[in-house]
Amino acid sequence: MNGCHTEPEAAGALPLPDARAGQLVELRRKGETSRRDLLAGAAAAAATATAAAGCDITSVDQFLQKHYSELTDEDKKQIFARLEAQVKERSGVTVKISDPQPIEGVTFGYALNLSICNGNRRCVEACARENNLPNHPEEMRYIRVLEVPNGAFELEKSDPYFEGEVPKSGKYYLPVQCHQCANPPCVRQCPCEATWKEPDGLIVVDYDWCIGCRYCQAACPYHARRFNYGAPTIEPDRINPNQAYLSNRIRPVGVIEKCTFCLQRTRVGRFPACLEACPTGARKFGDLNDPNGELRKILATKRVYVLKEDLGTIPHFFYFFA
Amino acid sequence: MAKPVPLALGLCAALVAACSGPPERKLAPASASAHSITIELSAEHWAQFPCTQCHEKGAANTTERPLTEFHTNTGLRHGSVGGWCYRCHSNQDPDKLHLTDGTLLPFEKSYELCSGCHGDRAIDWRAGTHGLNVGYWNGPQTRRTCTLCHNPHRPAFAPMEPEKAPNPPRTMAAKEGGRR
Ligand code: SF4
Ligand code: SF4
Repeated sequence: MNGCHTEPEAAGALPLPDARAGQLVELRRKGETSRRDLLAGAAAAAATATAAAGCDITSVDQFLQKHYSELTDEDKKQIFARLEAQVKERSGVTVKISDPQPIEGVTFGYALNLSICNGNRRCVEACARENNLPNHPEEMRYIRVLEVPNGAFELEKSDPYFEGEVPKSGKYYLPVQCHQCANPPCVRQCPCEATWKEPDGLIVVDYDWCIGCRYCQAACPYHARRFNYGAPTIEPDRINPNQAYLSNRIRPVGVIEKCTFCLQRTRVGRFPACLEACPTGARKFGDLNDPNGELRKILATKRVYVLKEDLGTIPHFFYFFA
Repeated sequence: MAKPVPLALGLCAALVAACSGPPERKLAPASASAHSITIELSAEHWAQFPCTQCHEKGAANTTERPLTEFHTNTGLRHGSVGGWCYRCHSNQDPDKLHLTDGTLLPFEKSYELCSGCHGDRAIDWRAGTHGLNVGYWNGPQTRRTCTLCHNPHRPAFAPMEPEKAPNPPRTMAAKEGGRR
């Protein structure tokens, strides 16, 4: 039992011992440096090649782009302008890319009332529209609504592909999306720090830094991450022009993505799209640090549980009965 | 020998940039905006069709019976212990509702009437933990009144058609039977 891939932390059960974590970070830092050196060399060659061929030079900018945490305001301005121009050119839609920052002292949380959720999937569709999810046969959806037999908690007995009028008798409905774990196994598995935890507890991905290895997808116990196998074709009339760099901007092929609690909305105070679309009012969202907020009232007075608590992921997404 | 100088300068600049580290992260300041709550009502309906157009004040036959001429599509199914139109509607003033103690209540205050029986729900609704609130989690919110989601004559949610099911992954669809 000493192969590193069989250790419990690989499955996200336990935090890494400090010393090992330090070593890992060190290794990653080194990897990052050499990656950048390599890229710089390759880009120089590419620039020469594309210049000679008269090609679009913007892809080289993208190639050389730094990690989100190293971008200055000036860098961001240029990158956002480039991305906006790209969308304009490809689909004719004028979009605005912003970078709303975490709000001081706020930790986002979500609570979902299982007593009244009836599995109608309005949240799934609203999410797809808000977050610019592709609508072609390779479509992906961040929220999966599981139809579970009453009395069962084994998710393998659930069905995400149910059809026909809901609710069906003898079933309950369990919508699952990213739980924005406080101890996220997905983040620990990323070999290049392309996904991380923000100060407000949201787990985000720098789509331009992700190498598409999908380690994080395998590590997530909630099946919350989606991979862009195909080019993200979205009908122009479905494109949401209000976009944020770390959330719903249109993703390139070959990167991972997931629910971010609609940070383009929630960091400016609005409710997430799924919450407002739910006709039964089963979804509750807010600041976990606000002692008078709705979430804390729910945590204090309702029967609350989290999914797969034993894994120690400490989700910021709660299910309750009321 | 003019060329090496700018090159050296450029290198220095790059080094300085590299040593100064990543830019400092500035968080958005916490806002002190108030939690103002507007209750969304469905007032137009009864404003357009006041009950007193047909019902004279105090003149109705308040005995429970099957209705064959008017209000036949109400589909009344509310509560298991009987009760009929005049449990909630007032005969004394048909344009009003009444509480169990006889207090008259305008239609837009119907949530007060609902609270009379559904106390636990009412507490949750006032706390913001039951019902659909939209707008801002840290600012102005619109809270729907009970009857915007629940038909007061038939308050249980009717079964509904769900949005389209997700496409199964291709590997799964290719297996015999396609969907699981
Ligand atoms: S639920 Fe979200 S934060 Fe938690 S492991 Fe999965 S992707 Fe990461
Ligand atoms: S797919 Fe992207 S975000 Fe996920 S582990 Fe690999 S590089 Fe990191």
